[in-house]
Amino acid sequence: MSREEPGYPRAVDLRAAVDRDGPHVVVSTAGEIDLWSADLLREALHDADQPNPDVLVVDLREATFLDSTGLGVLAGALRRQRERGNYLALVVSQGSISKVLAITGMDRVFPIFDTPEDAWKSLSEDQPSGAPNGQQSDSA
Amino acid sequence: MASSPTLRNGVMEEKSTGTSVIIEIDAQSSLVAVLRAAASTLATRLEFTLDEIDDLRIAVDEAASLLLQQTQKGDTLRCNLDLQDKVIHCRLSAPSNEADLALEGFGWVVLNVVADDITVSQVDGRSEIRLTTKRAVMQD
Repeated sequence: MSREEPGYPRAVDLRAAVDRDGPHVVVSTAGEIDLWSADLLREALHDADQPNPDVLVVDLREATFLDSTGLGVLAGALRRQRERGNYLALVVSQGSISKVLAITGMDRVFPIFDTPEDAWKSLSEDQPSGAPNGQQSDSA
Repeated sequence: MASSPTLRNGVMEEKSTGTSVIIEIDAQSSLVAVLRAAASTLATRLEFTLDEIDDLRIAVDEAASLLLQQTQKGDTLRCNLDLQDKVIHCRLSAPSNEADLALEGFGWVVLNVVADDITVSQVDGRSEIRLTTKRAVMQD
């Protein structure tokens, strides 16, 4: 269901790119994140995880739509980051996306920032210095 | 051979009580964006606010996504949009291959926040979700 045969019309336009800068990785999205395109986001997050970053930022400022399927993909990535003692932050500006985050209460679960730089600055300061990537224990 | 999905039908007819739009798509996640776009266009025509248009887009998307959980290749998903002066009644249906829709998770939560008067039923072997979105009464 999630990915049809070649030749399907691209009614959904989502672009996702991974930009890696040392321990900081940002996944930038543009377009609509829904039942179909959530797979593209999932793939981008998987790429961003090789190797696993201390701080993974998902930039949703150019995304115009996010539904519960896309939110589920983001929640899964957040869980994986937390299990390793690392961070996942969202950068959000669009009203519709903020609304979905608020409706589901996920605006209190994800760290949310105005820019990737704000996320890096805030969360990097949080990160215990010298802790090897992926080796911190999160007992919670 | 793989068949490409098609927008099978798009009908707009004027009624004395309002305007009715019926869209039938192949039951493929890549085409849900077509329903969102149509709903958004119609809500704009009724002078819904941007916030209300967002609600309708999300509602149609989540309802369609729920229905697509049960569909199989070759099924169709039908979306009826009945436009009244300040209200859009949506009726989405698709063949039901299981007893009940999974009315849980993020999608169901979101749907219940952005839409009113939600009912789920089985009609002639199809699952049907009805919902309403309303335009706020403008203050003079």
